[in-house]
Amino acid sequence: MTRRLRLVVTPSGASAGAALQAVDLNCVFKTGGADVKVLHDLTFEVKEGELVCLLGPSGCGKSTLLKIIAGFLAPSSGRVLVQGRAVVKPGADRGVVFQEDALFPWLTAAENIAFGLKGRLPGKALAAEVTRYLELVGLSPFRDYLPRQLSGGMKQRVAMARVLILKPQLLLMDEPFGALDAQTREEMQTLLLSLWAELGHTILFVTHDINEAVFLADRVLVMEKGPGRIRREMRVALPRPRRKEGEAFHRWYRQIRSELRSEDRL
Amino acid sequence: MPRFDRLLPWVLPFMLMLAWVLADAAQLVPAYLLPGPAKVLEAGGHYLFGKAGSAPYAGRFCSDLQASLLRVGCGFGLAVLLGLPMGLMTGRLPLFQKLTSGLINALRAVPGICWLPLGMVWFGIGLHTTVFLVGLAAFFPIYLNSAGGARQIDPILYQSGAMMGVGRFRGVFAILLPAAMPSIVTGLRLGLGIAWAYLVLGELTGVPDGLGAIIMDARMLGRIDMIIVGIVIIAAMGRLSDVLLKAGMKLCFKSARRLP
Repeated sequence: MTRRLRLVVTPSGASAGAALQAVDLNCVFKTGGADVKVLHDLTFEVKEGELVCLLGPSGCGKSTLLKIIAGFLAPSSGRVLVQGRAVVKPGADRGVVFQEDALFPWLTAAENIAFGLKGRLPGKALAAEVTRYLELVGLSPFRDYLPRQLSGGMKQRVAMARVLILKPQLLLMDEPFGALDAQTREEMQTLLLSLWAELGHTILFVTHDINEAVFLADRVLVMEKGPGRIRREMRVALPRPRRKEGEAFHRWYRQIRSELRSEDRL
Repeated sequence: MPRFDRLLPWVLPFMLMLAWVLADAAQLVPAYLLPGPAKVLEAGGHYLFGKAGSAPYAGRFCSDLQASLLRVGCGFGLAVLLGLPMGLMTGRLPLFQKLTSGLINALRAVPGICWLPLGMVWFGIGLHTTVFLVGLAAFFPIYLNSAGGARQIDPILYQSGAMMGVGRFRGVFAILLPAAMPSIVTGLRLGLGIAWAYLVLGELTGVPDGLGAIIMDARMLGRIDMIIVGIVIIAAMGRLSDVLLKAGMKLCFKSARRLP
């Protein structure tokens, strides 16, 4: 009831500083005869410049939610607003970094990064931008490598650079480091934070890794499944730069884990 | 070992030649069934380089080649023009696939030779019938492979394009074509190979010139040496056109150049 009331006071436009609003999202998949409810009455906001993690077990609909925000999928009901404008289709204002390798295999690292800007910038300016973003993700020596010649971590660096170069208002990341080995994953997390500090974009980051969520997030939205909804919202009050070793970090880890565990018991 | 590797493709042809030379020297096979290498070489020399009129078939090579290339070129070009866009649309648009694939798969089951009588009635003997046959035969591998290539493109590539602001039109050239390129190249190569096969079929019907016509003509006159010359030349032209096609695709398309 309280949520409904809040919606009534929030006008259809953006509330101040909200980069992303999801309002009463429902998503139902029709599979054969039975309807599967994937998302149930999901409502949340992400503020300008905020890094929010969607944390939840597999099958809780967090990737579906991201697809809806990206515009790849229409919700059964409800609305998504990005800076006050309703999302109807994919667009360059919402950059997506996928979990799997989604680079164009016939383009080099530099050409993949240039892809979205091609034809929108004169050649020289484009080349300069590409060089800058290659540098930002630490891939300058690999600019002419094809994706199949790059490691998994390098590919995800290219995947990040190719959307960041478009200066999206919102960066949507769907378990982008999930397929990487532990050490590379930590490198990538650190890289993401430094890019975030430098470029200041808004990030919605999907993960099932509690450690990752505590390390990255300003705020964690803990999701539960069957049907997917937000169980709890937690503001991670850890100062940055964060270290994964300290007692404070582990306290947060345990707290969020118990939140997830209590869901398992249901 | 690398040197040995390079020789490997020549081993079988060499042994075949050797067997031929030996069989000829031992006169194992009568010459009216299989003439010796020297005779075939001589006939080939006359055909390729001889002055017109100095011997039967002498000096005809250029005009024959020209006629055959025109037929293969037109037929193959037609097949590409129709097969490639239709294939890509079939692979990409489920409605178009429903519309076309039933008919095309039914037609595909018809052996190409069956169209020969119809072609002769419709187009007479010569260029048009051959182009019709070549085009029809080359269409199917091009169509099927580009459809398969377009269908198998990972949707995540389109999603990547969409979230970087790529519209439908640019998507076709910047994502669909390059992503389907491996299958497109395969389809074109298969189509070109079949084009040469059906060229001969089309030219067996009594056209006066062409590499296939030579073979048929030589059979009537009992010139087995010329039949072999014709076969070797067609094999060489087929191989050469395949190499040129591959090189051309690589020259024109980045995505063909960077095939794994």
